[in-house]
Amino acid sequence: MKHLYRNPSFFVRLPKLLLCFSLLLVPCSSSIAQTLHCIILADTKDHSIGPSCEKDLADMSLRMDAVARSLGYQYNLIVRSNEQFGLAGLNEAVNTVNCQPDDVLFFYFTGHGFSTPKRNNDFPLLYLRTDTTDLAGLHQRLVAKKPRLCISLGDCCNNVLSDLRKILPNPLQIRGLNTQKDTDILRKLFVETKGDVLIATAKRGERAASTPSIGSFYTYSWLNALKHAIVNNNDVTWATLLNDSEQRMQSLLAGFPDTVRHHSHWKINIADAGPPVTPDQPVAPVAPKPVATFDQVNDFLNQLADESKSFAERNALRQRLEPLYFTPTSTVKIYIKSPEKPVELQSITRFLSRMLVNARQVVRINTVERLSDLKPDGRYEVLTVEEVR
Amino acid sequence: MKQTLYMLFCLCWLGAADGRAQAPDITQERLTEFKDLTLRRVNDLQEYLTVIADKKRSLDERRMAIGLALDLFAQPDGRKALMQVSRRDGTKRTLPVEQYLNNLMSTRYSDVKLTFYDAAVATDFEKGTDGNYHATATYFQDFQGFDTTGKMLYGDRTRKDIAVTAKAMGPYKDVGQLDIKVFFGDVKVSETIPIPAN
Repeated sequence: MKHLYRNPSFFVRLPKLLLCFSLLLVPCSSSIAQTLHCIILADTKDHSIGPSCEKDLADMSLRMDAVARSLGYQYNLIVRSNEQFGLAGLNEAVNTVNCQPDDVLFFYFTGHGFSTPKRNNDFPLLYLRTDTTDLAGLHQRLVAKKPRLCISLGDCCNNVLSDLRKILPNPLQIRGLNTQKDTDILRKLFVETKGDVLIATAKRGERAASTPSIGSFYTYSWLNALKHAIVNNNDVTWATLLNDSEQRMQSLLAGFPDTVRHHSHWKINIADAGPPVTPDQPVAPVAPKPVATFDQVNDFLNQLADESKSFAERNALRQRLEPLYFTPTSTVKIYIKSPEKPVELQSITRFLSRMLVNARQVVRINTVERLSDLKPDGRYEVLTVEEVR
Repeated sequence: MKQTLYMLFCLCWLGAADGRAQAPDITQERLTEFKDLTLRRVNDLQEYLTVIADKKRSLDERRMAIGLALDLFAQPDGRKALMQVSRRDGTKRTLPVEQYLNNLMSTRYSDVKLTFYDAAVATDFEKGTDGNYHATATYFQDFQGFDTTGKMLYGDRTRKDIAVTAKAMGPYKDVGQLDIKVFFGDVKVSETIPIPAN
């Protein structure tokens, strides 16, 4: 650049150059301004679950706003609640959305849902007071708008006919995790993927549960799973995120023995769009290939602490998988507040024994992938975990 | 002369460093975390005692619980922690923790019910003159021994205090996380109330 300043003709031509430069910028800037469209349909006026839906609406809209900001996407939030909740409001919202090929479209429903005996579809009908619409059909309408990624999440019952969503009287308290900005995980989920995801919080015949203080059990679990993945994971897929959400919801439900049991299910139709091409980037050293995915190891630890299974069954599982996943010298760092500052270091043998005998004390194990190391043979050398109690 | 003084200084310094690994000064927030950890480990101990005493559980599980309980009391200098217990005649007896746990597993009662009637508590950690941090954790235990007919032969409600020490340890040095490690010491009975038989 220096030689330009020394040339007097440069200053004469500067206005023209700036004009050309700005003309070049206009199409570029419009092409990179991707948008995260978020349509939320919340039955906030319902006499039984209204307060839960209010909480879901607030939590989900804020989380998606944070996701959009982290990714550098524009955030187009369309909420249909209170008097706007209904089929007319939904249709108007869907018609409003105009997707560009790189946009993300996220649809979220919190309210009542059900199914009918004659329906041949595992996804629920959404109850819109005077009308209904089916989640799967709505999802296809949204996919037809051709965003790069389309996600539809219906948090509602899926029971056959009369029963509606059950409300729980008791507030639930569970510890959250500290958040820190890590857009890599969000990029893997929302940017480096192409396709669609359809999620229902209850299988056919099941009712879903919520409580006014935490909102819907699934939404709460899904948001926690997303937060956990952002903070703790190196890698994530929609399948692992939804598996984790399901496990979290089951842990949550276990604390409410008198409430209904429900299970989320989903259809994923995702093609990996791959990370952006950066030819000048130096070749990274090849990391050891893990003998088991991080998700499998995390699941293994949680199965050991699952008191609904007998000690003998869990011990047999431990004897089978411990030598496959770990070496005799593997260690576990246990943290309470910050993953970077553990409060205890235990041998893997002692830690696994503790999970077996102490299952009643442990609600869930959260493993921090980014602070866990592999041996060259692919077995885990160090795990960093949180015991949620 | 200077060299001799310097060598003497070095020897004194090394002597002080060796065997006097004092706990580093730790923030109150961090000490609160270790207090939380202490309470968790007391809850673990309660769970282990329940499992060990429960004759309906498998020997594998009960032995594993003994091993885990002993780990809590493992001292870096190899010293054996002691457990004080109440006797039927109202006196107290002190025995090694390992022996106490083995006795609990092979008790002569046909059935033992070990429960905890109140939540465990712990005092804040305070730095002692030895350079380590100290606290006391307390748990509240109901013990009931039954014969084959289900008749309670003995029962007491005791309050037990565990001396807890947090010492400077090196395991986190490799990751720049020099910190302390919590050890359980001797357990004393501070109160015993007999539970009357049915």
